[in-house]
Formats: sequence, C-alpha cells, structure tokens
Amino acid sequence: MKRLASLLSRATLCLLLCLALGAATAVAADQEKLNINTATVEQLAKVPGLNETLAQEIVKYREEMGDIKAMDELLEIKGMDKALLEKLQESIMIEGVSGSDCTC
Amino acid sequence: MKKLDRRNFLKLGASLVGAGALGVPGAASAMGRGPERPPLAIDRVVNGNCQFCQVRCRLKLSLSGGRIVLAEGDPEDVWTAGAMCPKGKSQLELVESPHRLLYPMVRDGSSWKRITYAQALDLVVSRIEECKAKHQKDYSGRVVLFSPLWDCREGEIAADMALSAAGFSNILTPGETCISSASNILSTFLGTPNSTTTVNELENTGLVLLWGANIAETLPPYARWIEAARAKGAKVLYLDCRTTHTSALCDRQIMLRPGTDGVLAMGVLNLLIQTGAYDADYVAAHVRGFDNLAKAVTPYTPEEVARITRLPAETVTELASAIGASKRTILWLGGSLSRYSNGMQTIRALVAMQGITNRMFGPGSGIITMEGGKPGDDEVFLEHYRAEGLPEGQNMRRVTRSMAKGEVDVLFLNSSYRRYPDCNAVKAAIEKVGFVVFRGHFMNEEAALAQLIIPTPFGLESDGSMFGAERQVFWREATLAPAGEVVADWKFYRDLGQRLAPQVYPKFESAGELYEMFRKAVPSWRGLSLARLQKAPSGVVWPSFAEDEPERIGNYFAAGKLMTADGDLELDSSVLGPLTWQEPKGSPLADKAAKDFPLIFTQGKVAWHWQQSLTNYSQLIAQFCSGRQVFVHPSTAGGYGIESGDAVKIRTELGELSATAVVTEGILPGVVFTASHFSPSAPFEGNRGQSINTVVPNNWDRVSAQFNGFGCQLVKA
Repeated sequence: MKRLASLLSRATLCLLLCLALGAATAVAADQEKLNINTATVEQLAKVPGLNETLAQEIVKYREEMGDIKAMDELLEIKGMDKALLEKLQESIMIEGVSGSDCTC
Repeated sequence: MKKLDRRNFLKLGASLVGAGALGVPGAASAMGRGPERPPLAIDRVVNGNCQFCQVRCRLKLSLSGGRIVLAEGDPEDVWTAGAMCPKGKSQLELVESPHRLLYPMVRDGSSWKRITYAQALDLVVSRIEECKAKHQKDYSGRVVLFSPLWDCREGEIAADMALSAAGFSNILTPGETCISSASNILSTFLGTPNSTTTVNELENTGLVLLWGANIAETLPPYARWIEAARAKGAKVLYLDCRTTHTSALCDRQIMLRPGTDGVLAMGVLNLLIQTGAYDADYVAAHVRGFDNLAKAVTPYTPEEVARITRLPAETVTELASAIGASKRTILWLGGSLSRYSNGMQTIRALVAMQGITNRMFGPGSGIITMEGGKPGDDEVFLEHYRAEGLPEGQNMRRVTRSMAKGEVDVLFLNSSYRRYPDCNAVKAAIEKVGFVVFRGHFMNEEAALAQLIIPTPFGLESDGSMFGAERQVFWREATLAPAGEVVADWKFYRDLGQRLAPQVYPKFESAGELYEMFRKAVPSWRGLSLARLQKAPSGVVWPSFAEDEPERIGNYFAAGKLMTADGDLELDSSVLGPLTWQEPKGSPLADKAAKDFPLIFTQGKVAWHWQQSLTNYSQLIAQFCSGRQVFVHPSTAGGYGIESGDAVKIRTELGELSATAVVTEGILPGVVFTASHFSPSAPFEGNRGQSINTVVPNNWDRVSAQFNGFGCQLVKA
C-alpha cells in the first residue's frame, strides 16, 4: 500500500512537471511568434506561407479595420485560405488593443 | 501646508463663486443699478445638471408656476462653485424650442405619421424578432446601437441590458471618436482608464502641463482651477498649435506642429534620461522596460525634435528642464491627442514621462484626462444580464462595413453619425440598414435617415444618476414634466428589454429603482445610496464601499502604487510593440505625401458649442456665431492672396467646406483651424454649415478616429 502510494505520488509529480514544462514551452513559443497587430510588412513577408503581397494586404486590412481579433478574419483577404491559416498559427499570435475602455 | 480636508475644500469652493451669485434677486439694487424688484415667487428649487461636457455642472433650477424662472450653477458645488457656460444656459431655450420632436413618428413615404409610443415599441420589437427568427444563431451583430452621451446612467444601463440580454453585442460608445486612445493607454499602463487625481489637486501642484488641453473652451467651468493653481504659485505650460482662450491662463504657451506631440514627449524623455532628471530609485524598484524606453527615445535629440515639431531646440530643453525640476506635476491630456492616428504612442510616451519622474502619486501629481471621470464596475452588474455566449462587440469600422453590406437589420441611431470621419460613407452605409430608429431631439441629419422616431427628453425633463469629471456620482431630479410624448432612455430600453428577454430583464418602475438595484449589487457602489446622493449637491466620489467611509478625493493611487496587477509600471508592451512615432496619416509632411494638400487641417470645439448637434438649435448661441470661419497665419494666407473676411474653401481629398478667412498670428504657419460643430439643418444662420466630417478622411489609429493633422488646401472662393 505504501509502495503504491509512493508510486502514485511520483507519477503525479511527473505529470505535474510535464504539464508545467509544456505550459512554459507554450509560453516561450508564443513569445517567439509575431504579433499580427504590430508586425510590419517586412516582418510578415518573411513568415513561412506569406509573401510581400499578402503581408501588405494584412497590414492594409489591419489599418482599415482596426486590430485583428481572430485569425479567421484573414480569410477576407484574397489568397488566404484555411490551410494557410493553419500554417500561420505556428508563427503568428494575436494580441490586440481591446478598444473597449470608454469613459465618455 | 493646509490640510485639504472637506471643510477647507468647501471654503475654497465658496471663494471661487462667480457669476452664479449674480442671479440673486435684490443684488442689482445692492450694486446701485436700479429699483428693487419684488422677489420671484419660487415654488421649488430643483437639483439639475448640464448635459453637455463631462464637468456636468450642477444646477439649481427655480420654478414658479411650473416654469423655470431662474437657472444658476450650484454655488455649493465644490468642483464648479456655481459656474455655467453658454452651452448649459442654452438648455433652457432648447427644452422649449419650437423645433423639438415631441411625438413618435413612423415614416410614411416622404413624410411622417404620428403614432403612439406603444405602436412605436411594437414596431421595434417586431423588427428585432423578425431578425432573430430569420438569422437564428447568427444575429448578434445585426442589431446595433450608436450610444449617445446618455442623459443619465440608467439610460445606458437599461440599453446595455436590453441589447445584451436579447443577444446583441454591438453597442458603439462615443469613445472611438473621443478619447478612447487615452483611456486604453491609461488602462494598459496604470490600471485605470480615468484621471488619476481630482482637479482640486491643481491647488497643490508645482507644474501644470496642459498638453493639447484647451480647458477654457472645452471645459469652461474648470478654467478656475487653472487660475487657482497659478494663484498658489504653480507654473502652467500650455502646448497647442494655436492661441485659444486657454492661452490667457498659462505662463507660457508652446506652439508645436499639430500631431507631433509624441516627438516632443520622446524628446523630453530623452533629455530626462540623459541628464538623470528622473527618479532612479523609483525606476529601479517599480518600473520595467526602462532600458527599451531609453533606447527608443535616443534618436529624439533636441535638434531632431526641433526639426519635426518646428519648435526651437532651446524650447525642448527648457521644457524638459521644467519637467525634470518639478517636484509635483499634473499632466492634463487634451482630447485632441487621441484624435491623431499616432495618438496611442503619444499618450504612451507622456505616461512614461510621468512614470519615470515618479509624478503619479501624492498631492499635486498625476494625470488628468478629458472624460476622465466615469466611475467603474458597471460590468459587475451588467454581466448578469448578458446572453450566454454573447460574442465581443465590433468596432465602428467593422460595423460600418456590415451596414454597407446589408448585414444590419436594426440600428438605434441615438447619436450623430456625423461624428465619424468620412461621414458621408457612414451615411451611405446606414442607408442600407433595414430599420433605423432615431432617438434624439430635433429633425436633423440623423432623423432624416430613420424609419421611426421616438424622441427623447432633455436632462431637465428626467431624473437619474450621473457623473462628473471627478468620478463623483450625483442625483438629478427632473425639473420639468416631459414635453409631448418624449420617452426617457431608461424607460424605452426597459420596455424593449422586457419584451425581448422577459425571463431575464429586471423589473423597475423608475430610474431611482434601477439605480438602487445597481448600487446594491456592486460592492464599490454600496456607499453611494440614493438617499446619500440626494443630500450631496456636489455628488459623492466613487468608489465608496460603505456609507460611512470618507470620500476618496485626491490622488487615486492612495496606496502609493498603481492599479496594475503588481502595482508597478511596465513600459514594454507586446500589445503595442515598441515605442515609435509616425506622422499622422495623410500628413502633408509624410513621405510621399500628395502635394495637392500642403496645409495641416485642425478642428476643435469652441466654448459655446457642442459638436454636431444640440447647440446648433439655439438661437441664443447663434447670435454670437457668424458661420464657419477658418483661422490661418498671415504668411500662409499671403501665399494664397487671402485676407481676413475673404470667402474661401477648405479643400481636402474628400471635398470642401465654405468658410470665411480669419487671418491671425495666433496659429502656426502652414496650419488651419476651423470649428467642429456646424450642422446643415441648423435653423439659425450663425450655426449653419456643412458638417465638418464630410471632408475628414477616414483614418484611424488602432482604437480612435483621426480628425486632425491631415493635409488640406485653401482656395479663394
């Protein structure tokens, strides 16, 4: 019984460590991704799957519409499709200004 | 130093009493101006407030036989000491205006048919229910509300509950055309979207920076606080590209090129850092991202700042020196800073400036922002009424696109569409909306787009809670019975909400009942009972967790730390990216700028008018207005052969405005200024003119619209 309890607590510890490592890895990975709402055309053009034209269109969309809130919005841009969006998830993250603070 | 407790504060208020006192009967005789007249037979005196700027001056309205016979600013109000500006006075005329809309009307071909309120409500409900039935799960964006400056908080709360309980999330606040850039930046870096101190702290400061803040014309009753600051020895520096009424209140005005405030702020930061004129201990202990800040501002030497801002390099150095030497500084952010496409980064730099000099805490220091007084925590109440899975609301640009594509079925047009840049495009989009409900006072450009009109009362005709510029909450009593069949917002949206979401929407029969329901549900409001407000002419400052707590006047960061998660200032932001500066969009000085529009366009308020709307219906105010004028420097005007009094056109890439030229040295060369307020539908010639945003190109920063800083041309008509 004692041995089982010891095994269980070690397993739990391992699981917790794995989760923590996974979370830290995810955070670190996120920090390496480009924020679509602050990236320049030059930065976006270097992202695998994008080119100069698409990069310009993304920035143009962003300038016209305000911060991008979800990757699906990019489907409005000619040349973007779901497969490309899927690929972009590896390199792009979304952090936007909420714009919701209004004190009027 | 005298302790600023409430007793001393009230004494200060009394000592600042101005024109309001001259309304006292018998005063004329005391001043030797003629025979004493019999006193007015006053039936009752009501506590009211002005519904225009956010100061929301408290009023004493005296009634005789059901009519207002005397309207004065409340001399006991500690924030305004009885001041009222012409806009506030115009309410007395507007509420009796023969041009008012008084009854619900439905469009009948090219004319209007009067209907009852019940019929009007049925129409609205049926259109919304049709929308929901047709679009099943995809309707959340198909009903939209353009928020007005609500006449009372209960109107906003009732409207939010009605739409969100029914599953609609697009409630557009005025902030996108106002100061949302500032409020979002303050929220991001300081943890509060509001002013971080109350205006009375100007009496305790050493340096006031009116940065783009034309207080004498945008918040006229608050000019007295600037005078009080100077009387106590504070230096007042005013940064604006043109001479205004505020110029007379300052010790020095710095006239920089419009839209370059961020460059100047970064230049000041660079000098503060280079000379060590910042609080290194505070920075070491409580500020992160300092090294990146220092790197970002390094290019902005006095010479580089001078080149961009058109200021002498010595001015930049002198400004930095004054800021670095000041022990207590209040930075007053003008609304205009939020109305350039580079506004967010500008305000970010200014916040950093206050931050590294440790001027956020304590008496006489902090940041005041326009519209900086809205109390918080509405969400604590409202979230209980939101439909499950309600998506986030969209911004105006996305909503305009949806309207243009015919994807909006019902629009509550509660405020002017002409507050948006390229407003003709917004109008064209609204014309594609299935059903437009106008909620307002006059048959104006907005009413012309509607299928249904349900007119609203003026603040004088309704009671409710409201807030001023210091987070103070006060209670307004209705002074007059509502005219015709106008319906208060809280009542209309309550009726709507109870029809659309009867299982969820609460029951209440008065604004007071809704107020108390809210107050009891939100801990930070619990100390602000209706009974307490009714006894407090100046209102009571939020937050208040219990009725016996002392009022929180003064610096908001009472604990000596910011309201961020850890109380510290994080200057880096992955959301905003690096601190940078760019020319305003459409600036004639930007790279590859079109040569056709070489002058810099600026617009703004004048002291006696509110933007695009109500005050244009005042004959009183029209007497002092002579139509649209454009202010231009002699060296600029001379290049076009323009003299004062000439009829000219202000031309932009979108169109042109007719104006009369006023040639003055009170504006920078190469810059023009014209007032914002005119309406084509104004019944009085002095107030009449083409809406300004018909010629303002559709440029935005990440949050707010741009109204200044783009290129224009002047042409003799």
